[in-house]
Amino acid sequence: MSGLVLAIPSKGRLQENVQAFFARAGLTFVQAGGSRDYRGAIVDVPDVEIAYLSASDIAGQLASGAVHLGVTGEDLVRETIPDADLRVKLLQPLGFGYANVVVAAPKAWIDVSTMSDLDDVAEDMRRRHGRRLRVATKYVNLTRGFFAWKKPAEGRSGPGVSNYRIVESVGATEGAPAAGSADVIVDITTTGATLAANGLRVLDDGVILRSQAQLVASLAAEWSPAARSAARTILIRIAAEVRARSVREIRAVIGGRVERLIVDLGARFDARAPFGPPAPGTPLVLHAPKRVVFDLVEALSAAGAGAVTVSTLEDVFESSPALVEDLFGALGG
Amino acid sequence: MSRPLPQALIDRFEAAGFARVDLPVLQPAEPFLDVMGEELRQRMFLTFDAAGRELCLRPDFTIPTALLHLASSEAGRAASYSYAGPVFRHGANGGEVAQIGVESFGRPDRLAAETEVLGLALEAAATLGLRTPEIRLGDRALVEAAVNAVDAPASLRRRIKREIAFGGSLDCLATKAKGDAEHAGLFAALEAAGPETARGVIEDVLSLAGITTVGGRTPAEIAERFIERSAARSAVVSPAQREALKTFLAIDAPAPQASARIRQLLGASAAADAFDQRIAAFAAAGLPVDAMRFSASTGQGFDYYDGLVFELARSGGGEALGGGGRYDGLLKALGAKQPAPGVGFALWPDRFEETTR
Repeated sequence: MSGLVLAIPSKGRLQENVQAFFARAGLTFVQAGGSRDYRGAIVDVPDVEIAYLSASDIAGQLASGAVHLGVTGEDLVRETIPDADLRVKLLQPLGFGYANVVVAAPKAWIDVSTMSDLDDVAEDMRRRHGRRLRVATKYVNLTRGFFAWKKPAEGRSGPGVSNYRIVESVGATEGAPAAGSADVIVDITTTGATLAANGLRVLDDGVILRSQAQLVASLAAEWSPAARSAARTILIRIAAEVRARSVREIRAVIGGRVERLIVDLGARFDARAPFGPPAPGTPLVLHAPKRVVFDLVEALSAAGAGAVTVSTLEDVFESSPALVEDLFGALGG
Repeated sequence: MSRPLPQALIDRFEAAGFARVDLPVLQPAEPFLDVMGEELRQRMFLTFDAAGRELCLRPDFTIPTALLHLASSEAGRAASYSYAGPVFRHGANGGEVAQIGVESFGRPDRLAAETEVLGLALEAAATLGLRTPEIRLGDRALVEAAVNAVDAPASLRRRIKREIAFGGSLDCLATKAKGDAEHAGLFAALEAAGPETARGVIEDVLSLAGITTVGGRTPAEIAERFIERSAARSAVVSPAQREALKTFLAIDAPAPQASARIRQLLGASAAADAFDQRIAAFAAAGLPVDAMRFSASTGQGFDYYDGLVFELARSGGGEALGGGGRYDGLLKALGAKQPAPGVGFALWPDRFEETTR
């Protein structure tokens, strides 16, 4: 088929969260042969095939272009796709699957709190014992990038870590230092509890990546007209839902002209009047980020508003949502 | 496709006493990663044998030649080798590039060995069509001496050397390391107590907490560095010394004139004397010292070089067509019981093509 392939994690909490996220955007998945089928579709959006895959396969298939859109962790995108920014586009953070990729050292190393300390220790080890600092991780590429010395010419500065070796570890990485197979680790953590239980501590500047689940587009896939059209439908709905969740609608009747007030509130609170200035005697409608709602209400009162109402919205369809522009901008044409 | 390797050069190296070695393309990966660092991994072609041992297509000839030497009956004696063939690194030319060169291990007559190797490199470059190359010289031992001249704790000096070797910014000279406030009182108390007492206190604290060797370091090592760090943190390099080091690193001058600038900063120094003697030896052997340019930054980041470093390029600059230098620490790093001097060079014959046309 020449339509769109959307890759979704095939199991666990991640799959449930993804399904819930799409469902909120009015995109309901159906699995043709029940939950054991690895292919599916979206109710009422034609030309979409859903592929249920493991999160790491999704990253690989986005890179190769076997799927058009996919949901996976940013950690996997950055680890498994070389030059990720040239091959895929991160479209939308999804607000779940939070985890950090971190550098953690034994708590007993009271002389080590930063990456720069780690570099000193690594050289000490090589000088004293003729061996390099061993880093256990499954994030080989992220580790190498983070440990590399930052050259002023690259617009980054800060020491790297030399004299280290990677010990590849696919499971229970946090146990490697206690087991004696490594000195420090690079691993993913949500609360840090597992690290602490294994006598490890995250370095002060040791957060490599703050990861969460992302909706990702492949730039290598063949984007047929049918695939583009299906992607547009999906992204418009997601953008409407994401926008609706991030803003509140504020209504108030203001006496007199409100054009200047709208401009002022836009600058101060990022508030927008989606329907423009109201007819005399009808309420002004504003959309504003939810964190500024109370300040905005105060500003409206100061401008002479009477009653002010605040409500949540179901969907906000904008004329050309940034999400859609981002994808088609990246695809070109 | 690479051109066939020039047989004339191979014969010339053998005639000069550099025994031709044939090295397997497939090599254990460990020695390369151990000597050159994890950064090399992404440029190597790696695979595994049935037992799970990591193998690679040889990314250079120097390390396999050194290993061959160590495994041979010549180990511990002076021996010279030459090689020619493809090496493999991701990137250039589909990953396969021809290399030709020599290595000489164990020669105690250091200047003569360096002169011979550079002379042979220049002769080889001429055979490949480059008669008047630009010769860039560097000297890791001079940089080492310049940093050792800075009045700072040893651990800070080692950090400066790494900053220089890996292209860092030397920020560590300007900014004081940020101390963690929670331990400030402890640092102060330990400093006041003196190193011996301090070490005892830290070891006691760690053992009271039931902490033994976690992550391959003993409590004594941790204690020692804890004290070292507190000393390094309170150290300040004077602005004059900071400027002096930066000026030294910026030296880029014709080799015959470089000496005066090196001495401005190092004064009477064994490393500066060695530099002068080397230039004199080159001149005495008829090498074109006037075509040589010394720059303190040449050869930084070549992991195993530790003395003379040279690069040959077309006049007017551009990428190196070959290079070499001294690596006295290499054999020891590869497991030799005694350190032994080493010097050598390698050329990339394919890069000469443009020159000859």
